[in-house]
Amino acid sequence: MKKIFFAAISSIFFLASCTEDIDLDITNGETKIVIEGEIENGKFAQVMVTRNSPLTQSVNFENILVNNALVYVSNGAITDTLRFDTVFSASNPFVYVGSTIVGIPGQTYNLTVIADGKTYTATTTIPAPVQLDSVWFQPQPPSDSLGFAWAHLTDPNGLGNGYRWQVKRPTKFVVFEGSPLILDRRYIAPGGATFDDKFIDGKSFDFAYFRPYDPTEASYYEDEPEEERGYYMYSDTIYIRFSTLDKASQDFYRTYEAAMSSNGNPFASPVTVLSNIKGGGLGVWAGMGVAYDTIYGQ
Amino acid sequence: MISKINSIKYILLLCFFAASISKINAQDKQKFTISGYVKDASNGEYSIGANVYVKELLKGGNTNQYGFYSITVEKGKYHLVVSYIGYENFEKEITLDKDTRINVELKPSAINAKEVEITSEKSDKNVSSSNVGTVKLEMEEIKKIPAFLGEVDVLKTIQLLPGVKSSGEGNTGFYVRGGGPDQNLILLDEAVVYNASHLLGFFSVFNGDAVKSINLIKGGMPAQYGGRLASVLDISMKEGNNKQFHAQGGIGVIASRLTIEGPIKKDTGSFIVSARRTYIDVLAKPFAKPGSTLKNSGLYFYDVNAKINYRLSDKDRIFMSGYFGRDIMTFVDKPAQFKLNVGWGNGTGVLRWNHLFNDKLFMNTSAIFSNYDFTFGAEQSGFEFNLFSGIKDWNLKVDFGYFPTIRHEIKFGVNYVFHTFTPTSVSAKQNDTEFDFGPIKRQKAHEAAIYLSDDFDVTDKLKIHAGLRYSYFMQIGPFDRYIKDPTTGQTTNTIHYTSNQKVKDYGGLEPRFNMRYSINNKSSVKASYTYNLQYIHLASLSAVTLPTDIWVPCSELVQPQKGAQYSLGYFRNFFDNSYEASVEVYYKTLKNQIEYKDGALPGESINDNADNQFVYGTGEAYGIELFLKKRVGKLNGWIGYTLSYTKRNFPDLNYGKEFYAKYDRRHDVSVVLSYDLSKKWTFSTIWVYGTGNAITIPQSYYFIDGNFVTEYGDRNSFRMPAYHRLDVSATFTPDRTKKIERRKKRVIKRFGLEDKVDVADIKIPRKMFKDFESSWNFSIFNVYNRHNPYIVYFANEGSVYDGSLKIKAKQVYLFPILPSVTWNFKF
Repeated sequence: MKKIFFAAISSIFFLASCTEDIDLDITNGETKIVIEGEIENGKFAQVMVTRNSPLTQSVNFENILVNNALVYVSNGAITDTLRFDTVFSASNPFVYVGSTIVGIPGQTYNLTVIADGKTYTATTTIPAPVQLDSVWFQPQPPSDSLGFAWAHLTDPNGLGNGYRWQVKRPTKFVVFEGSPLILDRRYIAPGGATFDDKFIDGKSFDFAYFRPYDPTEASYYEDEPEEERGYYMYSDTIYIRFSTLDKASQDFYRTYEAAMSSNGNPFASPVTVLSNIKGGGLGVWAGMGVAYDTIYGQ
Repeated sequence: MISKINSIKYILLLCFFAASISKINAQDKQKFTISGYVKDASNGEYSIGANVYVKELLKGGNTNQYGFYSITVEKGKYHLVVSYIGYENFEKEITLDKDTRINVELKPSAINAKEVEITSEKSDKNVSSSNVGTVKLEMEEIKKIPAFLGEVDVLKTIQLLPGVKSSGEGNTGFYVRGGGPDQNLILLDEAVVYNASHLLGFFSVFNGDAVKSINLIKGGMPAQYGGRLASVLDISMKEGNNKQFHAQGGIGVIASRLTIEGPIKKDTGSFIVSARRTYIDVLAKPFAKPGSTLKNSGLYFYDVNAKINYRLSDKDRIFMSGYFGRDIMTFVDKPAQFKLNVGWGNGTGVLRWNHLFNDKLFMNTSAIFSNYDFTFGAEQSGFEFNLFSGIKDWNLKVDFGYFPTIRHEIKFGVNYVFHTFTPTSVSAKQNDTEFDFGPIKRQKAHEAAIYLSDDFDVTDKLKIHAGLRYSYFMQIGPFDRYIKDPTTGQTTNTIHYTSNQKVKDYGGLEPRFNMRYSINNKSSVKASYTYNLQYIHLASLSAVTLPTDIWVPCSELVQPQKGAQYSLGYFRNFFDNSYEASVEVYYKTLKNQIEYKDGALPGESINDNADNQFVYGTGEAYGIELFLKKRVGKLNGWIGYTLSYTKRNFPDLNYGKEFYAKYDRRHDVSVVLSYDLSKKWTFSTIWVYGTGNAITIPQSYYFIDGNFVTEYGDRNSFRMPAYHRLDVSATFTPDRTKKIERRKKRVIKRFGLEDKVDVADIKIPRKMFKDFESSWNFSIFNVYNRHNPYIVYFANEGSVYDGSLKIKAKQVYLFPILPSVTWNFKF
């Protein structure tokens, strides 16, 4: 909804304007630690720690990866020391993984990260998961084989529920231009994946999302036929990861998505991504109450 | 509340009044009053600010907004002189032994008056008027400046004066001395205009053919105005020619306009109607990107001004005026099944009654209706979204002018407004599911003010305006206040106010003080101090001002904006008043300024109180303005330069560090030149320069979920490239008499009468040709085609994963070089 608003305003101006590249004299900011962590009900915590990258330099993966941080998760009773490992299905495969604390809905978890000589902390709670009533594939006219993933949700009464929608198709290995690729390697969130129940409290309704693409496998998508972009095939099996989030995590993902959608939009004011990391870090520590669903391909 | 220092100020002001009133009563000698109305002899338009003085005493006053003057002097024999720019002086010998009514009709000067030194008009007005910070613009001056796309524009012209900054192409509003776009009181025949721009700032809502005069007050705001901190732009419409019917208009590349005026009853009543419209096709197509579907898309505006006035008697006149204008934007993208409809505009209606109680007491009562609204509708594949935002005012005001002696002009009055705000009213549906946005949130408020002021000549050299205004604001129900839990952000409590129940009120005293000290008849020093309160505010979310910006009233959370301004100026005329020069400095402190909090997004305030998203802080603005103007001769024009700083300090923004306002403009230069080559050709040019706006730019990038996220630097710590532009225009006015001569010659030749008849023998009734005038205007906007940035933003291109990532700085610019032609006519 907000996206239409912004898209509309920007389209108006492209009626009567031109865009061009320019050279500006810019200084770089200071180096900061970025923490992207989550703890899911029934699973161990997973935390990624990286550094930010200066504006004027190209991204150097060796520089941004932090592999010597100390990462701890505590539930008030015990502390889990996360170990550095590789996780195939994470956006950044180098992850600090827990081994002793499993997420439980209703519990609060504290995160502590010591990296580059500084300490960062954060707190989150896993809300009760909300299961979707039903999920299905629906073709989008005029096509009868291409469509979107649909779901029916009944929002529990009481304001404060927030959700995040992520999807993946079964993982398969492909060889593309001589290189092996994994598709869909992981759960991806499409634009607008995070929403709250401000306007839908207690309501029961249908909603749909288009097929998102994985920026880490971007080169593959260039070869995809234009008509199929964003659509699912009726034969696709779609795994849905539908999570509930607490307020601070909702704020992070909501502003993160606004930042994503405003990338390249000249009318967007700078979006401040609201982090719940204390100590000067960027990113989020999110407790997620996850409910899984599957749409089976025909 | 009033502090001790303020109390002392008020006591001083009261002392001034007491002293002046006692002086009045102390006079024993017999005095009589000369009073009356000053009008233009050719069309009956009354003259605002004409100079009326007694030659022997060199004392007098100016006509007020309705052309009325009143001078009280001792019994005796005098010469009464009336002078006004563009007119011949009026002089009359009078023997004053009783109260006398003298109505004056001024004859317009001959066309080439500019070549002759102007002896009419007390031409040292620059030096002698007490209003530091007031600029009066004549429509004739404005019409000579190169017009954007052929349209003469009031707002564009005031932005050429020092201290007034344009908000850039495409932005609505303007900034005066570091104030925000909502801090300008824009009045059209006393009705408040909330958004004075068409087409997002390309044109103003004021049709140049219908405007009589413009008064811009950027400092030293007199007590009769209030409700805004930074400035007053007071625009008076023409009354309409009450002697003859006339029409004028223009046909241009982008827009056309027509004005018709005439008498209802000769010399007693008249009317004027003006209308304007732009063309969809012409606008959309030349600018359309190749390949975009603009068949059903367009951007156009229209506006209509209408006015009637009637003189009921020697003491009473009534006026009725109205304005209605609308901007419409439609966009259709068929393949994407996307439709967009946006519209906004103002509507005003004013009913006024002038009454003269006696020769010394003048009253005007106005009943005013003013409305501004914005509507937005979008539709895509079954999803529909509609948004409405508006403000509606019902206003009643009574203003008195009392002229007890020649040294004093006392003004007092009362102003009452009832506001209805609809900050955002939204509806949406997905196919058949209606989203619930709750009931429409409206806010209602009473705003009132009472004022008293005196303009008086303390000595021959010292003139003072001292005034006191008391203003009051009260928000009333029905209204729901949502109390938020600070940690969860959820609504924990709703306070419901019933109809007419008081929600919150504010009030305060606003002292105003202006003085002018004449060093000699060529130079003067002027100073002012004013304190203003503002109860309604414009909340702007994006880096540019858009019609989507919403007006919100004061509430329990939003306190009135407070502004104190000090200014000082030195004014000097050279070479017998043909050059005017001035230097002015100002300093302002602002309290209770409003910004959106970090992370606020559009749509967040739906189903919530708009002011739950605001944070508050203070501001400071100061600067120096230099101005030089040549008023007479074939070559005339002006140069203005302003150096200014505008800073803001908000505990909740920018980590509490001070930052520059986005419209802080370090340097601002305007050069305006106009050259009358002959009776047929006039050339003019303008060159403007301004330091770029302050913006927030990215400083680093980081990864979240495989995507790049931007981290921004300090708020408004970066400058956009500077804005500068050159415009030229040429106006050609054909000589009709020569054309008639040629036509007569052709007729003679055709009938073979060369030997028998001479050109001079043919007499054509003059009234058939006399009044038709036409002119051609050729102009080029942005002669050297500078791509002035409208917005600067950053876009990622490519992917980091295959090493192709590039972060590019981009700018959007609006106008390349733009030539245009307009044909103007008048009959």
